Amino acid sequence: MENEAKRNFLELFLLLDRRIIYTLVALAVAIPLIWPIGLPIRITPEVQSVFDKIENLPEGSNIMMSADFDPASQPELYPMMKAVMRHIARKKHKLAITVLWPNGPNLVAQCIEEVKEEYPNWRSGDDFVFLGYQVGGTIVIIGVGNSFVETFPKDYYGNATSTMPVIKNFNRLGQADYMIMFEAGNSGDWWIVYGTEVHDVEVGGGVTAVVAPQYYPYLQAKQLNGIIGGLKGAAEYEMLMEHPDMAVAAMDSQSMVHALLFVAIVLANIFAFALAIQKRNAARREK
Amino acid sequence: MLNLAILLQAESHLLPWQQSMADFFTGDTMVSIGTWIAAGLTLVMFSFIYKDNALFRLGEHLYLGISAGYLMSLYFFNNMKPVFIYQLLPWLDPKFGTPEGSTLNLWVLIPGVLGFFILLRLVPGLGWLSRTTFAFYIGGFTGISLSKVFSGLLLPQFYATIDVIPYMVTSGPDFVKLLNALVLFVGALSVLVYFFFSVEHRGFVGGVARIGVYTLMVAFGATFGYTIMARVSLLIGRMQFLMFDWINAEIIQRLAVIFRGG
Repeated sequence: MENEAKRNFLELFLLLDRRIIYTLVALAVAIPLIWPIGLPIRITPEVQSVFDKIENLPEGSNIMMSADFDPASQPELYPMMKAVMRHIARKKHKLAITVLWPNGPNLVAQCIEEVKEEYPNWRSGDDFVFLGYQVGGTIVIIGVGNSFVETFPKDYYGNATSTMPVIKNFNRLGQADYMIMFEAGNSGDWWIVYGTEVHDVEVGGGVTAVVAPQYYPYLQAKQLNGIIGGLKGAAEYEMLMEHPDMAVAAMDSQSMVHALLFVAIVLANIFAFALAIQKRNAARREK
Repeated sequence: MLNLAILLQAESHLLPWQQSMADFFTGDTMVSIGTWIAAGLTLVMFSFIYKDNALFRLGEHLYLGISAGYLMSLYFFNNMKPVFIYQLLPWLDPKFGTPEGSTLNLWVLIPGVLGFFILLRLVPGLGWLSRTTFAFYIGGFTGISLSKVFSGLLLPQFYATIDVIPYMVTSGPDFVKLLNALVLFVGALSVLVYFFFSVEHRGFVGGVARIGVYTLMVAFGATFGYTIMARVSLLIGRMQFLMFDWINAEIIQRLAVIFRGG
């Protein structure tokens, strides 16, 4: 009888309605958002490298940024883009921004507006140029290698790029002192090829967690100087900036869900193993 | 929406009705309407977690339809108009005659005709013309990218994989680096052996291929872990939106204003 009850419990657990698990996940996300726990965030060397590079460049250095993502990757890439953009504005570097994904420009425009609220003297045309989106993918990358002005005669806001002060000393990818790309797909491969190998510009990457494993070989091969991977990477960058924002606020939820999933996977494996042993013993007894 | 608002704000001399529209699109009312629609659609999409339903399918179709329409209009206004139409018919450009205006450029006829060939796939008997465009595109892109793929991707990755040899010669006491390079070298080599099917996977080759399988499993495990992290991040993003931008800003704050009599 006791054995029967045990078996039922094991089977019940393994056949748990998925909606109960969804509810637990929702609670694990929501509760830390309302009552933050403040779990520690350890800085990884690959995020530190990106931060150090931007931090140690002399004031007024040229930085190229490509935001190759759309709203589907916004929760991961937007916080890190904002943190990096804030860093660039704080260090008074010159910035040129392109977008290779058609649904991306609005996110960059929104990010620029938010950073401008913190740094009102950071001006379009003088300190940065938002080149916007241009169709062509790799062809655009080749184009910005030759000339920003020829590839983007007008910026995102419709102003002629040729007359902008920021363009005077920064009109092509090769003139950049550093490049940072935010990637939700494969466009980064081509930025690495043309940035690192053709124009000899050091490149760093901010990538979604899904594509992060695909970019780590570039880090190992020193084709990337650093990687900001997923929401965790964004939170690390915010901590380095000493400006906790969206990513840091989300990290407790992230950790809680990971803990929940870890426990669920371990328990499910133990219970499945125990059930298999029970069934084998029952079969032996029947023989 | 932000795009439209910025465009409207960029106009220096707005007529009164245009100013009203600009105020409306940049004002709180429009933000509120957008937030409520986004929150409603988020809940509709989440409803699939409980059970498949008609509202979820409506949301799904809305998403596909709006995305397709938005992309089409984006391509037309950002590319077709300035890069093709205004180059071919420059007097249609509102800035025609000014230094920033378009000028006649007949070269765009070539990509224009090649692009039109792709549409001919829909016409029985003329579909073969599209192959010309694809041949041009694939040939051109291969020519541009082939050498770069070798020099920019394949060779640097190859050199990084055989890093173990310089480490063995020079690193000496740096055991961690040596171990890291060794794991990478053995892992990459064993995976290549696993995918080499011309030799039967038995004996020594089978053993190496088995190591390749384990290496692949570790790689898939890492990828799976990162994928979970990414999906959880998306869920957190939506929950932050629902809890802070919608429930807090649009419901609790507004109710508080009403009850305070403000």
